[in-house]
Amino acid sequence: MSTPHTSTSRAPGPAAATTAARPAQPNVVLSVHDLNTTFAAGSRTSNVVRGVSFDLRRGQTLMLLGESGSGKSVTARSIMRLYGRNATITGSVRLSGQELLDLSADRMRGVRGARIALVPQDPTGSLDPLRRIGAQITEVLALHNVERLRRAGRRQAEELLRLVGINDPKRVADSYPHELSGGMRQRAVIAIAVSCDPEVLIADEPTTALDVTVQKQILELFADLQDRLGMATLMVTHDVGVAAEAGDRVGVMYAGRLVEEGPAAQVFASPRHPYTAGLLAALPSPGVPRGTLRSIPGSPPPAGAFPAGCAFAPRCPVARDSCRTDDPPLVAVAPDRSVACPVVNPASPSAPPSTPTAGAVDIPSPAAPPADQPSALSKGGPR
Amino acid sequence: MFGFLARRGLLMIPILLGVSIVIFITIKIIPGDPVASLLGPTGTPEARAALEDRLGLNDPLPVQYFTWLAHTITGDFGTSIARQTTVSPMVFDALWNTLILTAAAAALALVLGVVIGALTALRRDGLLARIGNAFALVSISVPQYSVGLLLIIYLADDAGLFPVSGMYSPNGGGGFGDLMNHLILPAVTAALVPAGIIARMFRSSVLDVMGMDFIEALRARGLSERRILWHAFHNTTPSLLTVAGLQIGYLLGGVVFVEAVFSWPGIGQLVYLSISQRDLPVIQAGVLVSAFAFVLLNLIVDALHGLIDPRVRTH
Repeated sequence: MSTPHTSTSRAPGPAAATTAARPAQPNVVLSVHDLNTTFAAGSRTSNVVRGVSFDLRRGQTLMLLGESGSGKSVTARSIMRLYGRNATITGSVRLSGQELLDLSADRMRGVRGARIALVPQDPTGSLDPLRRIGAQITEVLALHNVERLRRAGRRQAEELLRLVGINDPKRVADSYPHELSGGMRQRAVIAIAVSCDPEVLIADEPTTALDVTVQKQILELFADLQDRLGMATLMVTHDVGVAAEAGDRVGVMYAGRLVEEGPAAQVFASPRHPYTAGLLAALPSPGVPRGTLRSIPGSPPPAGAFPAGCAFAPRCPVARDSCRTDDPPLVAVAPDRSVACPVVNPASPSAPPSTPTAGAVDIPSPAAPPADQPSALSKGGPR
Repeated sequence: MFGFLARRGLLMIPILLGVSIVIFITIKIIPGDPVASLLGPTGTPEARAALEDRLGLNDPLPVQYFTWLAHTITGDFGTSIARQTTVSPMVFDALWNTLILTAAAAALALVLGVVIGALTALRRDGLLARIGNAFALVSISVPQYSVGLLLIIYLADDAGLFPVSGMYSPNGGGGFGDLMNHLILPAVTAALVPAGIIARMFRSSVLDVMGMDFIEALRARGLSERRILWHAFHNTTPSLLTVAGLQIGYLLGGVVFVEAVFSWPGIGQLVYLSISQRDLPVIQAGVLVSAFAFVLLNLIVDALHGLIDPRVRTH
């Protein structure tokens, strides 16, 4: 075992209060606390993830929901420490109690693919185009299980392909990536990801590059694998429909911060943060004619150039003067929910007595987003 | 894979026929009268008519072409007008010599290009990378014949490290060491331009591949940086092969300068001399054999491409 954790820098961030307030949860596999990621480009630095904290439990799916540039993908990659020397990651990332940010590069390599696995957005791009699927699976198996024989690895590769719902694993194992359809490729990528039975599966927009019909199948596959293997899933998405359909919990990100976190059903039924409420109000709903979609005025700040105070304040319908100067911390508002907004948060000491009750933000929010409806957020293309 | 090769092989036939027609027509329309140069200034009109008849020059052009083609296919390139010997052994000896020079230059260019390209791509800010970049730029820009002459003046003539010209020393015994000694300077001269081009292309293709999504995916699977590099290099081979194949093809044609400067008895020098002598059968054979070698090289490159990249095989 490595040295007991002391993370690189632990400035008490705004989110510290939340985690402290929340009782220690059983079955927490991944505990992220006050995660900050800063990129350096020449003399300029940009702080892209700012004090993100959440717990992920066994068998649970947490959806990180947000627009492009909100820091959701960077959060996911920071957990796996996939960035080079130009990125500084501080805070704490504990995997079953073990601090990952303190691990040596070598030991971190042993964690990647074995204990935390990644399913990237584009299945075509994430497979080596010149190697057969079977060889790509056995490569990872061999990497993390030294004693396994090559032949056994091949058999196991076929079993894994069967596990992810591929009916003719022999043929697929012998295929090159370009010989498979997009859905099949994503299944193969998922097979590689779950090959070493990871504790945490991180899926970064796993359905964005796929057809809508295939999207549904892949989401069902994730749910099925989670039931069978019991891993925890962190899924990044910009699609409210996907988040509502596949998430147990949802964390809404805006400008590098987690602004609202809670059980998916509750968050979508009664959003507290004005940004979440705005997002849900912007969803097209059946009955409402085209052209009358609501939108949040303005546009999100570019990554790393966030305004002082609450980053959402310039676009917020309920913002107060203090919002433009004080960055609100994520505060628990119910046993299982937290929101980073003093205006809608009655528990916040700075909230005036006249604050409307939680959920009663000025924006009409639909009861729940239609799950099978593709949505909804501005997204500047797949990449 | 076999079907793929067979298709590419069959495709060679129309290409070679096209090449042969172009060569035949070019020879017919370039200025210069082979009969006059053969007979010399003292030839009588009767001798001229007899020779034209003997050479078949009075037949219609298509007949001349097919006669020539039929002989050519059987390896009979006719008789040299200037030397009065059969062309075939002359041309094939010269081709062999050119292939030796080309192979040496190609190997050198490939090694230099890949090493410099990889270095400049992976260590972008290091001193070695800067030197590599400068070398690639200079080697592309400097004309071969001037480099050849400089090498002859300083390394061969002044320093006496290498022989000045030729392929074997008259008294060197014609052994392998003697050949190598003669080979180094012309091979280096011929290799410089393709080395620079391969270096620059390989650099950008390494950068390309290292920026692809699957590299991050490999990292996320826990692969070490060394194994990731291995995957990356594997993925650069198709584009490397394309560039290297083209460059070696150009080498095959471009060594004519180097052969002239170093008096290397290759096909370039043979054709060059034959042009000044209006030795049409030798020119035709030389150009045709070079073109054949070029097309064959492309077939080999295609085959290797199919072997390396499964995506090429399927369509």
